[in-house]
Amino acid sequence: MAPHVVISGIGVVSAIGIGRDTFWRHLLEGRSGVRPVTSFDTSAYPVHNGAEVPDFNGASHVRRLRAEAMGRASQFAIAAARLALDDAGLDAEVAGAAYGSRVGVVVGTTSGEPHIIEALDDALVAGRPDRVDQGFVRKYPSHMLAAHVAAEFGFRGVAVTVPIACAAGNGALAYAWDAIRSGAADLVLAGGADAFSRITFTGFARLGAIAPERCQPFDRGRRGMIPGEGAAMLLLESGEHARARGARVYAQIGGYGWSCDAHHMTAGHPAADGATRAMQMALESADLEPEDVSYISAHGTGTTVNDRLETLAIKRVFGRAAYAVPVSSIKSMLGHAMGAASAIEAAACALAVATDRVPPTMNLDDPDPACDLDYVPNTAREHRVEVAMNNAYAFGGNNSCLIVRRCEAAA
Amino acid sequence: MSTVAITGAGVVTPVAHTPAELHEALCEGVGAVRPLASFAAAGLPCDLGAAVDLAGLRQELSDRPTAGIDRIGQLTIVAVRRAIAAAGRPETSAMGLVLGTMFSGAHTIGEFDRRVLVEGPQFASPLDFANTVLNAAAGQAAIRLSLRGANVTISAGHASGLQALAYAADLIASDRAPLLLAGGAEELCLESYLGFGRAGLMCGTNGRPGHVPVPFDVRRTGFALGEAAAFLVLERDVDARQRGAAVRATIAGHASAIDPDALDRGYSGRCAIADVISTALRRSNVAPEDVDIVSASANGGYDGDAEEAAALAAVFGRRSVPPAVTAIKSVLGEMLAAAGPLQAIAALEAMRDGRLPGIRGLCDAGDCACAGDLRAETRPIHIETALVTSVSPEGNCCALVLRRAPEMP
Repeated sequence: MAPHVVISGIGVVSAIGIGRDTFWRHLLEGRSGVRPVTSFDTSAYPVHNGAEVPDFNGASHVRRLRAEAMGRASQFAIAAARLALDDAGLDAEVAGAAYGSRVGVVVGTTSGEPHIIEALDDALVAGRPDRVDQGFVRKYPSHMLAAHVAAEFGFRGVAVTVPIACAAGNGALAYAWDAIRSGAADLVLAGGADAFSRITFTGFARLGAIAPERCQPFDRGRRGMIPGEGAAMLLLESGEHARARGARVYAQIGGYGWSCDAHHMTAGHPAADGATRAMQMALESADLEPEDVSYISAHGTGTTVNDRLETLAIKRVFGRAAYAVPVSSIKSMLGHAMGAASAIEAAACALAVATDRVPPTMNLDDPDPACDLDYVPNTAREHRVEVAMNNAYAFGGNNSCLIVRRCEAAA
Repeated sequence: MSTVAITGAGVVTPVAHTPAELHEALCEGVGAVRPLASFAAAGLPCDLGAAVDLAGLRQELSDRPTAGIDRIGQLTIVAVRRAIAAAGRPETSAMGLVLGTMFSGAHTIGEFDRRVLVEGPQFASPLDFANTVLNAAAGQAAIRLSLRGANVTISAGHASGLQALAYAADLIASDRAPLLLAGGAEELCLESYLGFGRAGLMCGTNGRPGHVPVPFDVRRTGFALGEAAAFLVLERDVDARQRGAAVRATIAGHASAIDPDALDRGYSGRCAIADVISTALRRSNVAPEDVDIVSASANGGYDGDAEEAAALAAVFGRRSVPPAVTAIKSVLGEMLAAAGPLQAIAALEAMRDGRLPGIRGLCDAGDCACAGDLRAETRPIHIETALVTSVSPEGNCCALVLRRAPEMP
């Protein structure tokens, strides 16, 4: 029988704080990470707000490698990985030597290292290909996110990046779950990382998808999403391995579902077919019924299309039970951290299971009549969380759903 | 665990449009590497590359408009479509796609951003933005071919494609997916060409004399960049038989790892490569003596080829007769993510035909002669078991074992 896979370490780098405790406290307080963009000049754009990680100093997290030899997303990933190892009680300085080939690294991302190709573009536009960074191919391709994490800590297992756009965090955790269950690894650092970029901001601005001020999922007055950045890495290990070393465990991964709409690159299927299938597949893989779910962490970007389709999908899967399960979107506070988003949300699910508290959907004052579920408006809630469901959707028509559940619940 | 059957393959390469044509081109040593005018803007002392003629794909893309589908997207759609046809057109509604790529649509991303710089953000194309996400090619293929199963993009450097195949094999073996297309796609573009040239990894860009992108050859001076897309159809052996599909071979096992010291060195070390190969053989229940051929990752890189040769020597050195080793990149160039799946497909063709293509242009293996039985000429050989390797400079290593099916046509 395949082993249980537990979450024993959580590392978060976010617009509302770095580290598990700060992140979770601020999330429950409803803090917002949305501010005017500082990383580049937005004066030529109609919108100016984003959710950047403030005061991030890569050099304080990247120690064996040189922070300046890699992009910001790799720095985020290493920082989150180091925090997760610390949180799991593993000494980052010796973990590589101690566990080496039994540790894998799987990192999800939407854009990889966009700043690195932006620098190449700056050189080309200036007519100076001779000024393109000689390290471009060692810094830009997205696989370097995982490779940098492995090299920083000396891990020798599988090290892959899963660039599955905004469902990438869930994708990485699903990959890691399978890797541990198959016996290919005992421990996997898995999550997601993305850096705020000119390319991403421009794209969403041109789609007219960015809200001018704040992110208001499920609210009638919503104006769109807020681009963000950050990283979360979770340390997953087999339950047996965690027990043997006396690790504290937050929750376990119960299963996942994946589907593709095969309908449109940027718009969801009008009947939410793929999103519905992903949730159903996740429940099936975890051997659960809809009634067993105690919390849904919504994709919840704050666009009208997403809010309504996700609500529809939840109703299709849960029927009448949809009204009894709290659903919240932490993107209301963090903005949309792209490939990192669902990894950060999975961290929130694990903490919800561990603490029996559910983070709120902020900025929800006047609900959209088409969105009539319990979205935990504006205030965190004490709530017994046995099973959390983490939804994430992505460009390319990808739909993902990850189950995070209490450990005792799965004998 | 279910047995993972291969029931079809599709390729898009500069020299061939079917696996059988690819095999012929490799056996004949028809090279695709030639001077390219398109990257003069890179200002590099190398102009070699192996490019696909996209115009030749137009017919197969004509069922719907190609506006909004970029180069890697087109390569992917055609290769996937060919693989589905070769597998006897199984029902696609539950079919998933696992696509390995290193650079994704880097040219689309660069062009999108350069337009912002030159003309202003208000002129950036929302249509192109959809293709700037790194999984765009997989999404485009899913839409075009109605693939509604899991849609996953994998990036592990030069090993991305073989890693995608390995991951897909695990998903099939553990019954997590019923039917998957798996492989890799890589486009030849200014951004990667310039990057590899500036890094001194391409032949002619690192001060070594001559342009000799010949794997394992003592005169090698770096690789020539190529492009391709290559996909295999994977399903449970029992499912394939039930639907009457011809099973060509099975994936017996695989292993992947990263060498964390490679970043400092600039190439994966022999110990890490040898470990991955040994682990893949062990998981496949294959002894080193039982490997008939190796399709190596070697690309003409100075250090990388020597390390891979040493790793093969470490794994197979005790055999009385060394394994036959081939490498396809002097014909096709370094196709990055597409290379591993294409090596696998070429190995299946060699298995079917009983001939192993030589290493085109190989004169003197010199320091790499320890790799095994290296030849420039095509040779007859009966193949039951083939080993495919992908090795990447940042440390990713992947090895996969293919076994002939009893009823292979």
